[in-house]
Amino acid sequence: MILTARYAIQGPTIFYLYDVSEQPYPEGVFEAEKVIEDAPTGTPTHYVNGPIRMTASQRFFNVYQLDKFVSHITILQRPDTAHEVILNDPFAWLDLSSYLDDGKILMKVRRRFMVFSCDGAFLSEVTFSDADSGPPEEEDVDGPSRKEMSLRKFRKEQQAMKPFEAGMSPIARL
Amino acid sequence: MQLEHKRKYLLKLKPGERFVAFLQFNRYEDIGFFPTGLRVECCSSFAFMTAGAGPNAGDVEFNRINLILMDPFYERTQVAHFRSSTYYDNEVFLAGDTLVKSVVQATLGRKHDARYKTYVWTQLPGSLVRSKMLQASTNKMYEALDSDDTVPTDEEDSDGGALSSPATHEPVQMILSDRGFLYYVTKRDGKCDIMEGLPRDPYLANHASIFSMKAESCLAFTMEDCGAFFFMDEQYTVHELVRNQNNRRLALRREFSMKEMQRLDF
Repeated sequence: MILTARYAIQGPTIFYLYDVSEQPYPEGVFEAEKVIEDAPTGTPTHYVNGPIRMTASQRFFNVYQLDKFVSHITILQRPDTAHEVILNDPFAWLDLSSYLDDGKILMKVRRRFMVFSCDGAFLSEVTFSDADSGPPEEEDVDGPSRKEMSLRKFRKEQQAMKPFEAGMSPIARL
Repeated sequence: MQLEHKRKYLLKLKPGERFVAFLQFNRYEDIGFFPTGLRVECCSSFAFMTAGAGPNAGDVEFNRINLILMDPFYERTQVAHFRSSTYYDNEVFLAGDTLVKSVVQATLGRKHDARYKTYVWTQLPGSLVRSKMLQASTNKMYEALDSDDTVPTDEEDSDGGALSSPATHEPVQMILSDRGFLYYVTKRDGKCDIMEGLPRDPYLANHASIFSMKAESCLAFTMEDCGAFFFMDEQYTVHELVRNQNNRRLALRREFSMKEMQRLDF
């Protein structure tokens, strides 16, 4: 059951509500209708289950049976939805979103940069190479970074650390 | 599950393992899953409980949480299946297949609270069951005191408890808010109560009524994202309830109804 101030969706039917303080029932407004109308020549659908809301979305789905042992999940947008959900973000991980010059939408969700079309279809994921990420890191004053360190130098450093470790007391080592 | 006659996803449970119920949760931390270093940003997540016999499926007496993560933003859909190494006690499994809804509530308040606890609340047709997490090594309770039995019930607290009938649960689904609060409807002495359970106080006896109204039954109960509650009584009248400004109780804002003709189809 989906219940709001404007409508109640129970099974395959949507019932439109009216404010009790505004009697009588306004004329010209739908009273109730099927969520999915069968096509006149198509196979009749049998309602099985629903509506089931999708978490963090404006969509819900009903399950219909067309033939025996075959069920179809039909995803629907809530009737009073005024926006399109491009990406569900239940954990609020979206960092930024922006329109690109060609009308596409760029989104950054934690470590992922994703591009969607203007109507919300997923296009691709963008990766940035190191060359695009800005000026190179400044070298450490105390020495080169671990990436730039040669294996020989790394071993030498490790050897230099060993006596220091051996000289430590057992408590300090813990 | 088959999508458009192309992609088919089947999850085969371990031999002897049984599906119990889907789980609703708010954060990965609530179910004890810490996705550090994993690319789970855009994954669809499905959590469910299983129980079963045999070495692969855990013990028959206990429930285990499973988590399926699906990432469709690849050339081939990426799917990962995680199974909890700890178990929850057996109250849910013993209830059979008549489960209405199961949710996970955690006492986690701050991000770095390492001592938080998680509980699985399962709604049965006539009751609400809280399942506690068991110790991983022994499959026993963490604390013997961590039980609903140690908290005084309403009947013991009130002097007139013997005269009033026990509260019954209305057959509408409970709601877990995005902040971890639990809401459900009970009925006692011809009055329906909207009950609220705080995540930091996860005891059934400490759930408090935040709204009470005279109604024979509750036909529907939902909560909108903006915080408004909708309650439909047996007369098909929908009551829109909002929070009071100075306390947690609800107050009536508006009433809605449907045309009499349509009530027959409802």
